[in-house]
Amino acid sequence: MPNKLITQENLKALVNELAASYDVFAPKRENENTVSFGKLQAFEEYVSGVLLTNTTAKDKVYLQSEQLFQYELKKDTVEFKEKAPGKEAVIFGGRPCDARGFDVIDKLFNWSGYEDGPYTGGRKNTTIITVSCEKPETTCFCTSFAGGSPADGKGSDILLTPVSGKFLAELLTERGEKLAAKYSKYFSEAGEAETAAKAEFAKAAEAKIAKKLDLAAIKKNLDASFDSFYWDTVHLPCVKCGACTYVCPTCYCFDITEKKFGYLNGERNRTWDSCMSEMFTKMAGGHNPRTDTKRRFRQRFMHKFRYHVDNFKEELCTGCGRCIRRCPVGIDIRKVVEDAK
Amino acid sequence: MSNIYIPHKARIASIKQETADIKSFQFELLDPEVRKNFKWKSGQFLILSVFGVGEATFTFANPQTRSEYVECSIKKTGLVTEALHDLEVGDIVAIRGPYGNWFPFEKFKGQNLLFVGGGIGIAAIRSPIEYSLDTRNDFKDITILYGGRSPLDICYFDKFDEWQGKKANLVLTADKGSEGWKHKVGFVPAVLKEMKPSRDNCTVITCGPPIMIKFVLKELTDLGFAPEQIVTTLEMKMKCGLGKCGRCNIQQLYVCKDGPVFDYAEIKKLPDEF
Amino acid sequence: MEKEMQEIAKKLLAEKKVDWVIGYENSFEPGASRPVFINKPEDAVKLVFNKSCVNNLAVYLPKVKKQKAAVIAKGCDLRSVREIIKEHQILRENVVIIGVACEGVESSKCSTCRENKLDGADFTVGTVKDLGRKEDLSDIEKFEKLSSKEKEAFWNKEFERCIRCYACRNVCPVCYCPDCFANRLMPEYLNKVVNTAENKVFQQIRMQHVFGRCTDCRACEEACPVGIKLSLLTKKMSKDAKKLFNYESGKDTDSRPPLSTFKVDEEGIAEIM
Repeated sequence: MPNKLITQENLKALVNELAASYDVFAPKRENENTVSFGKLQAFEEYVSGVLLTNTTAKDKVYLQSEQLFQYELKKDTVEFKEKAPGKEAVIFGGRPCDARGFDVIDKLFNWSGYEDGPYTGGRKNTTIITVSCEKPETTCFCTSFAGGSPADGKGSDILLTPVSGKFLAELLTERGEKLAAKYSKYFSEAGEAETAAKAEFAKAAEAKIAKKLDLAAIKKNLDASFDSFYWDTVHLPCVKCGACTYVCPTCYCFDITEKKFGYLNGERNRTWDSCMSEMFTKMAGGHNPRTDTKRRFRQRFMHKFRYHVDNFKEELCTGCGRCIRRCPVGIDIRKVVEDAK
Repeated sequence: MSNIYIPHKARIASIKQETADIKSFQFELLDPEVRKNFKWKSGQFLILSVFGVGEATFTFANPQTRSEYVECSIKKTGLVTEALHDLEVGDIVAIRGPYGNWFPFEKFKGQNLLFVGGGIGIAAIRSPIEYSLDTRNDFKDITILYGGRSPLDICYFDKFDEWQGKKANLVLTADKGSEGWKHKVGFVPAVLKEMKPSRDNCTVITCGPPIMIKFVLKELTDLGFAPEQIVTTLEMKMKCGLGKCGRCNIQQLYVCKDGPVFDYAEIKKLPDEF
Repeated sequence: MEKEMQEIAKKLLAEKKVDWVIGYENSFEPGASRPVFINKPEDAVKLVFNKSCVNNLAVYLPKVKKQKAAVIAKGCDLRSVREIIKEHQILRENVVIIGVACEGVESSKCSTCRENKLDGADFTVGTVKDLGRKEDLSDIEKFEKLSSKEKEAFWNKEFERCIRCYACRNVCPVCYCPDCFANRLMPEYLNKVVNTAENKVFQQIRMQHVFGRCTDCRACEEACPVGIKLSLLTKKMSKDAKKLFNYESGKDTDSRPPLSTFKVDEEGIAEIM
């Protein structure tokens, strides 16, 4: 499908119209220093200038706490009730690194012979409209990853890139095409000039990202460094909170727990969990294969840049840099994996 | 789209108190259709729901050749197991599974089998023991070495006659003996050393506490067993059983999906994180 | 100043007086710094001190308690060091305190700082100036005047955002319990589900646990990835501890925290009966 164009005014009108019939989540101000993906009532609430929301768009599909089912014990049986599927949603104004995160965890939730319905159900119900980044932050490193770019469309249904006062809208999936067709009055056809301008935009934005990781070298070093002395000290400043894992667009580990309503009923929930937590691998008898903080710290980086690559041929990271920004003690994932030997 | 976290409903059909803190449960799946299609193989595991508390992972204690009920022998160790021990016959629970890989019995055909179990680890090898006894002609000598902390910690006394009747050589040991205990006294690895099993044409299937496994492996290695001849089942904290929740990840493996059955050659390649 | 600090650290390590020097180094990010653990004399040159050195390094002391450590401490951090010495989390003789004269870092607390003195430090780097800053309780007083409903609405909005990463707890120098209630399963104090109600329960219990021990160092607020206004709570607790028990956390190393003592008649608390 050819690329489309949309003007600023039409984009505003489109988002307002979407907000009337979908749950539209977009970067929204929470207080003076917090912007997160929140439900948009009107376009005015959308904060367009922020690249890195405090938390990711991930939690709009892969909820931090999600009810898997409710149960009620009856005489000689038990009854399960699944929650009704949510409203169709649109995630608007996320960035290419946010969208790429979905692409990464989609694979996990579909592998090993099991499709994870609670995740894929929400995912299929969500259209992702992403905006390319003009001025990447100093913590950004998306260009390190295969195809990664401040103007990359992986994981997005529609990618908007500012060109000549308008937005070039690339319709990247069937879902994106459907949405554009439904609201075709807001779009016009894009010419070759705009498509060329996008390529220029991407080049310029990519050039602004200073840090590019040599992932092949990192993988090689991590393959050999599990027992390295490196891990004995690099973890010391880490306070083992879960901030890095919870603001990450690709961290997917979870826990399954129960919440009782009464003696006979309750709900089974899935909640995000963090490999930084001592409880993560602690077993019922008290045995814990990763008791010390060094092992937990190492696991996070090994998983992202080594183990996941072995299984999925891609890193469990999109280079958004949120973990660098939100780490209370300034641990820099780029440096940790680059220095590992 | 299916919700892979919804378990099959089951009722507790029987409970047998094995020791002070171990009970054997028989679970009956409620839905006859599910019951008919619920097939597992020795070595696989299931995830059991105790409503109001949560889920926990257990191995099948009975083999596919005796699959009228789903059986688990469960030691009281944590939240879920404690609640489970409080349940009674007729109470409702639920089961997800079967998950994971199984003991590759096709590879063991024509061999001698040596089972080495310690503590509650016996629950994980009762299934392959009974499977091999039910397909007895496929194997040569079958030897079972089983130890507990004390004679009071030994399970399955009611099964030993049958096992021996099917020509299994059963060696029992207790770390500490007591009056009237006619079997061996000593740690499992020490008894194993004394037994001097021949490595020729023999596969060892072992499960027990980490410290026992460690020394069993040492003894077997000293006896000349190759790592490929020793098979065990790994225990890791698991939540989903489906290769997703990330807990049982060691290196590139997910124990729930790539295991829990591994041979010692595979385990040797893994970092010491289990 | 940095040079002086580096020299002290180098000497302490070279003479094996300490196993670790805990200080700040430049981050990968320009203009930012981060905590660093140094155990080789030649690495002491990494140490820096500037306006970005916000972290309260006292949090690391209980973790190295079996070893000897020197810690770089601003006046405000020193309060936390004293508090954990008082609570026997570290032995005074195992800690070398390198106090740095601070004129403020990039933190909300600095505009009202009256705590830059370095009493009790083993070394003092730089000259402590009187910053002439005054206590400002206006935000607390304004908050206290709100109705219960308004207060609740405010906190509901704040804690709706909480992602329960526990960064607030893990950077807190006085949150050192190895077995935190929030992790307990038997009994379960806190359900793993993250929602406003559970999030509030977590922070309420945490705040009760640190009352009269919290030095209002703001490490929790600085660490919060979603910008929850925790300083409203910590500041209020400091104010109340002073008002009710005439107690200031971290002022010394030997007074008893107010909730660990009992007096039949507490002067600061009006009898209701």
